[in-house]
Amino acid sequence: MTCKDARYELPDFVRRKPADESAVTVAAHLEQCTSCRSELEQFRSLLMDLETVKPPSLSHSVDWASVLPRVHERIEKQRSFILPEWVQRFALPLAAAIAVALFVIKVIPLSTSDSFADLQATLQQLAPEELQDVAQQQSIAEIVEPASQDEQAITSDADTAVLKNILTDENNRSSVADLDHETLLQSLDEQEASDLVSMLEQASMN
Amino acid sequence: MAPKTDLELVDDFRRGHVEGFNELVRRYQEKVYWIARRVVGSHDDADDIVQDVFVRVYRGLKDFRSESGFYTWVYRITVNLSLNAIRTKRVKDFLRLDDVEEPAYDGNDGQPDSAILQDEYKAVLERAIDRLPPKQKLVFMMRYFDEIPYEEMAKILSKSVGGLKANYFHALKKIQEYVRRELNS
Repeated sequence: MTCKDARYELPDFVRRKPADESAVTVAAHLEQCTSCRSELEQFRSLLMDLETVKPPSLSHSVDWASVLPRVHERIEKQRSFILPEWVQRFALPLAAAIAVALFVIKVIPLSTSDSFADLQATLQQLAPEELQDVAQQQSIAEIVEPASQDEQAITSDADTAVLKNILTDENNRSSVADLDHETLLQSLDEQEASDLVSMLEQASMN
Repeated sequence: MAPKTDLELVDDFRRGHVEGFNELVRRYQEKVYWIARRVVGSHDDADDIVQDVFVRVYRGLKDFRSESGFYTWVYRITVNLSLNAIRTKRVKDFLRLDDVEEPAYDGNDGQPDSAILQDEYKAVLERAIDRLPPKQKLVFMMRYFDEIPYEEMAKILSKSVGGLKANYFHALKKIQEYVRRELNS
């Protein structure tokens, strides 16, 4: 037995309440360990002194007969505040569903807006010549052509027409060259910008 | 006729006889009170905890699993609520702006010097116990005052027997050091 193990047994050893047969082992250790014997004497003195505070100074008398009625009173009081069981059962799944819905509505659009901002940043870095090359691609016209009636709401007809003219008109190259990139980009919605980048990639590969 | 066991009373309650619960309250109210009182110190807090404990028992008896023993279960609820009460009290004390008045020293009441010294020494010991960290204090109380076997304590507190012995030892060392420091100052 180590000194550490022996010392953890000392309080019980002093009070003659060994947890098990370890008392014999502790006694054997004490016979050969002066340090632990010294610790034992200190504990003996302290534990004897602690008897004076046992039981702790408790001056208040307790009305035991009143406990049970007060317990029932509290049960009744709390019962009126407890939600019906079906509400308790569905409260957590409902809260989780609301949290997921909020996440989908708020967080995911934010992340796509971020990617749209990235696209805008990429396009702003293009030189006017590169934009001109893109404009020569006939297919670019399809980009600005609304795919369906529903999507017309995304970009106003007037904006679409202006952009289409700028990008497809062979005679308007100077306009493209002088084009303010920010104005151009602001005219594009997310899908249009994404398609424009694809076009740029294709153009660079060709 | 032999009194019903705890588990028989629990079964009575589960079958709809509230008297089973009432008997359990009467059987354990004092024990619960003293556990709480020793941990939290004040009568009012302990009295409040007793009621909370039995309200929880009432609500939990339906799902109570008998293998842990009714008293062990009640003891654990009491310990948890008592420790919570201490934490809440500490937060309240921390947030309280007005200072707590120190009790004024009322001088020698005509007691002999040895009696005064004895009282002062006892007060130092009580303060030493009171200043133990809550969980260590609880282990000390359970072992020293209630003499609960380590194995039972381990079930109540979900700790190992070895850990509890170490905790009890260190609690006593802290009391010893506090007393020594106070007497030397």
